[in-house]
Amino acid sequence: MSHNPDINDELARRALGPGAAVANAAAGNAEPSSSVRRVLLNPLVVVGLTILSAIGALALLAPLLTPGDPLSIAGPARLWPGEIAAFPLGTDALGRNVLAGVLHGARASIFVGLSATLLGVVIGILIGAVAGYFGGWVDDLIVRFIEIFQTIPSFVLLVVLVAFSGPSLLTVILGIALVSWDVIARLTRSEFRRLSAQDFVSAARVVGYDHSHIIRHEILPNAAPALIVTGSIMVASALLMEAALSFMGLGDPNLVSWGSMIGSGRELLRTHWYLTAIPGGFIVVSVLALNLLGDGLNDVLNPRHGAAGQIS
Amino acid sequence: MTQSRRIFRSLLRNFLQAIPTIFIIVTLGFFMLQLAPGDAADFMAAEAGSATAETMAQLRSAFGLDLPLLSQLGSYYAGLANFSLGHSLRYGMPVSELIMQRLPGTITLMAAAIVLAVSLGLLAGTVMGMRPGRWPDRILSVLSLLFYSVPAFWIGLMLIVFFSIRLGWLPTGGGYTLGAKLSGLDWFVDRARHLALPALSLALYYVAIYARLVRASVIEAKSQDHVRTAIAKGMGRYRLIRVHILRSALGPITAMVGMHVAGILGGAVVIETVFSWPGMGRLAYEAILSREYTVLLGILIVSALLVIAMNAIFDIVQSLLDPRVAVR
Repeated sequence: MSHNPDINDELARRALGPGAAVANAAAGNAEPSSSVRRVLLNPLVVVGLTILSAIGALALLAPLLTPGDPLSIAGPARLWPGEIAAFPLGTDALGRNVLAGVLHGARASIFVGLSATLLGVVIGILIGAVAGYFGGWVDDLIVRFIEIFQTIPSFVLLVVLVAFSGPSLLTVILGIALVSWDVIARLTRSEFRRLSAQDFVSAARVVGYDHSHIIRHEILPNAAPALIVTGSIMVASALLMEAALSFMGLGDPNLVSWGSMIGSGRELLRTHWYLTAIPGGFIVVSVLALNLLGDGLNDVLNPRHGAAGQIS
Repeated sequence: MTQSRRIFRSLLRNFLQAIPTIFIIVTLGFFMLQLAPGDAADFMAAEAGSATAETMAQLRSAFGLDLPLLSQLGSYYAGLANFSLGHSLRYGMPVSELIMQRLPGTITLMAAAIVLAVSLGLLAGTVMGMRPGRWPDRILSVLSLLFYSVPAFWIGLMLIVFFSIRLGWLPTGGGYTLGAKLSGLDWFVDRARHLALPALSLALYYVAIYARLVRASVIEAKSQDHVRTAIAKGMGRYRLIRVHILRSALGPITAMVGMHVAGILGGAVVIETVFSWPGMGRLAYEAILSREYTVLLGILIVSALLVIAMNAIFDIVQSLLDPRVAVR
């Protein structure tokens, strides 16, 4: 179709079209609707998404299911689950409703997990894209910087950052994002290096598109599958980090989260272990669902890397 | 290149890499320190119950808290060059001394967790990989996915409920039995009993990862020609696993452990607060409560040094296990 008068647009369309994707997507099958269908047919993805939507629904409905402040005293203290029908999961040392805590805690944990990951992914993509696309000394410098970041024990850094800046929702989110961007930056860099050497990117260069267009419209969509897989695992580790932080008393003091419930339930571990077990169970189920989702996405979107790819 | 020369080069490389790392941490940490609400003088005043403005000013000038920011940073660098991490007001001793008291505890916990994770991972991964798809493989796969998702501090608390409170087999926390004057084997058993639960809680997450890794490398090793030849020639099962299969799995697992050292240290910080284990993590927790920010900064610096040192050791172990791996 090179006789088309508007040759630039035609070439660009081809660079974006299915043919370009076939060149690098090992799956070969590049129609977007079919890859979405393959994702949704994967049993791991189905199980993971089902659990996550159930927890998400509970979190959204928390103000309706258990109205009022979950930190306020609702009834007699230290009721075991099922002892009184009004408190199906019991009450804690002060008489706060455990069910309300768990549901409202889901909101805090999910919000922190998602926003910290989103922020970390954006920072990581920006830095990794610059390194991988431009190469040269910029790349050397950024790689060195990422290497340094990886020798710093990230959880210790996170504890120090949050303790120094005062625990609040914002500092916890910023802190988690700041210690997790390096994973996505490394991945983005290697994907960008691989992809910018490919023909469809050269074609886009020949057409005369600028760097920002090539990065955003040519390379990024093709790097997306790998980034999505890693992103879903990052949400899981952000959840775990948030839980550990608030367990240590470094969460937002005005919010109830699963980790802070474990932290306060721990005082009664000897006699009322359910106060620790219940919120922890919710963490395990959520993280498990995210890991299942990540494994499933990895199987479908990333067949080249194999199952071990997401762990390393 | 001779062995010792390679080891030297590796150590040198790790050492050179440590310098910018420490520089960045110190600078970052120092400026973060300025964000912290209140300083040590505020805290001491709060502890004493009351303080006049003059006493506060006196405290600040005694600790150099009233100097300009850059000169405080300069004196912190100068102190570091003399291996001084500052002074802890609450404990009344140098921070470096405080941390050195706790460092062995953290290293012991990490080493025990690593040994446990690698050996359980090798065991589970071999069982899984030798007969993939059979029921032991399926059960262990589900277990490893589960352990991969459980927060270490929570599994620690659950282990306490089960083994310490219900069964009464193991102590709930601490590093050793207080007041007991033990020696020889009794001393060792006492330490090991206190170490068991924290090390296990810290290890389980990594057991899950290593089991999956070993499973994959066992399956791959089994399909290789020299292993198939050995099977065809009737080599015994255990010898086969030991000589051919595990040897090829050890390289990747060592590399992986090296990458995980920073994460294991982070996990140890939380686990130590769960089990009141006398290490740096417990110290960090106490420092947060008493707002001893210089102690926290010191812990961050020593943690990074510890990770760099352990990485250097794993680089060397890896090159000894597999001479083809060039020392990075």
